Amino acid sequence: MLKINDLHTYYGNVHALKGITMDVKEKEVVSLIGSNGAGKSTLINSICGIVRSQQGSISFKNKVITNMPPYNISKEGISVSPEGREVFPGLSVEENLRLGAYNIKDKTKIQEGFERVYELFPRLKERIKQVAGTLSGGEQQMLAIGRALMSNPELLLLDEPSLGLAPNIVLQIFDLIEIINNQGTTILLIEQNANMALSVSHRAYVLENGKVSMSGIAKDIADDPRVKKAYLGQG
Amino acid sequence: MALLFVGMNFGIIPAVALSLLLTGLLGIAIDKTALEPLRKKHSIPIASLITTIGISNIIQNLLTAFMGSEKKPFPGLFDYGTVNLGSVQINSSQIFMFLVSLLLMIVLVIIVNKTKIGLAMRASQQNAKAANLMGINVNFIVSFTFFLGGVSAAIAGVLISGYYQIVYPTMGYMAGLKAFAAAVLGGIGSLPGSLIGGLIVGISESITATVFGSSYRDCTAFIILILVLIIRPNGLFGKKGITKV
Repeated sequence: MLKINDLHTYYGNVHALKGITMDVKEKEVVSLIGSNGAGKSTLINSICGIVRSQQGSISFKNKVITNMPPYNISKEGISVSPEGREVFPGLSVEENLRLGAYNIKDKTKIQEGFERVYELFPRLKERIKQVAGTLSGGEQQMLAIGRALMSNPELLLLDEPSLGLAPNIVLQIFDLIEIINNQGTTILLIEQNANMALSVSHRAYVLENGKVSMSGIAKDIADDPRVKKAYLGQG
Repeated sequence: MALLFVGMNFGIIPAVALSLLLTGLLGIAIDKTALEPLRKKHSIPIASLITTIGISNIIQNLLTAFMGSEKKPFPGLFDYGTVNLGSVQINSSQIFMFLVSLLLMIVLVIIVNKTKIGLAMRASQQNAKAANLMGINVNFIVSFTFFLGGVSAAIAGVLISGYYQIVYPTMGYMAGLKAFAAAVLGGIGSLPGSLIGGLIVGISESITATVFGSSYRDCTAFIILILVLIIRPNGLFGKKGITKV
């Protein structure tokens, strides 16, 4: 579904992605793990069109989307819940969600989006009129994911959904990731919390210094002694 | 407002309509040539403010160079004599100005708060990156906002010109500074605030002129501006910055 081929991205003189090749198949949860500065967020930003890639290609459903402007990416069926949540702090929960469906013209589809999100996140329904900046961190993360789901995307990119959240909220978020995937949404998950990420994923890629250092079935990656030592805090 | 000079020969209504449109487009042109490059470089907000002051100077001086600095006559608009309310006399064009301003404000409030493009405007202002990710073409939204701003400014220009019945290149200078004082008093970013701020500044000016003489009139707005900045920098209706949890 999503194919990335030999992608190179620079930040000024910094060669952040040094030839990434990976793919995400339909209905999969694929996780991308790696330490700070490995290039995880750069990869997500390259897919979304926020940073330009200098070499290589990204294609989605056999259409090349490399360096497409970010506001067109969502029309292709890709949605993102960005790192740091990035909700609109002065807008209400309802307005935030409405913006997630900005490019959808069909009113009944927007309504379905609201219903789906409120069913997944009953907490958001209780706070429809509340301003997003006053929500707790966990609620803001739910809002960011809910907002991304409003356009009923085929591929959902989740950038660090567990960042800065209490452990019980993290569990809740990962349960929801599995539910969303079971509803038919393909998910590319970027996480520093490798344990949790691998437990909900089918496959995984390990990123190191802008390169894929390992890839395979999530369970095999979790059992790999090098991964255990570097990312899972074991051995 | 400067573009009012355009098309004076077409009759007043087409000239006004044309100047609204052209001033709106001028707003877009200013954004594209001067302000968008600043946004791309992520420069500090004050740089944009200073740039717009510079642009207004350029426009004023270009107009002076091509049209001369002397005052030119402008047809009076909606001047149907005065209305007497008891002992109070109100000029009909003043009533008209008030009604047009009120209507303009209502339209702007509806656009910003009730329409989809208004929602996109507010989203782009709060978090441009996230707005982009939601599928909003932020540059288009900014252009649209500048268009609205240009049209509003042109309407204000028409009202002022029609009231004083003269036009000259630097006529907007003092009005702009006073409007800034009114906007700060009302709270930057609050539409009803700027209306009430404008009323307070205007009434204070009239009172000052009556009590202390008309030579003190023009300093009133700036005394208010200084007091607001000292006592209540957010203005009357300004929102306090919302910090992320």
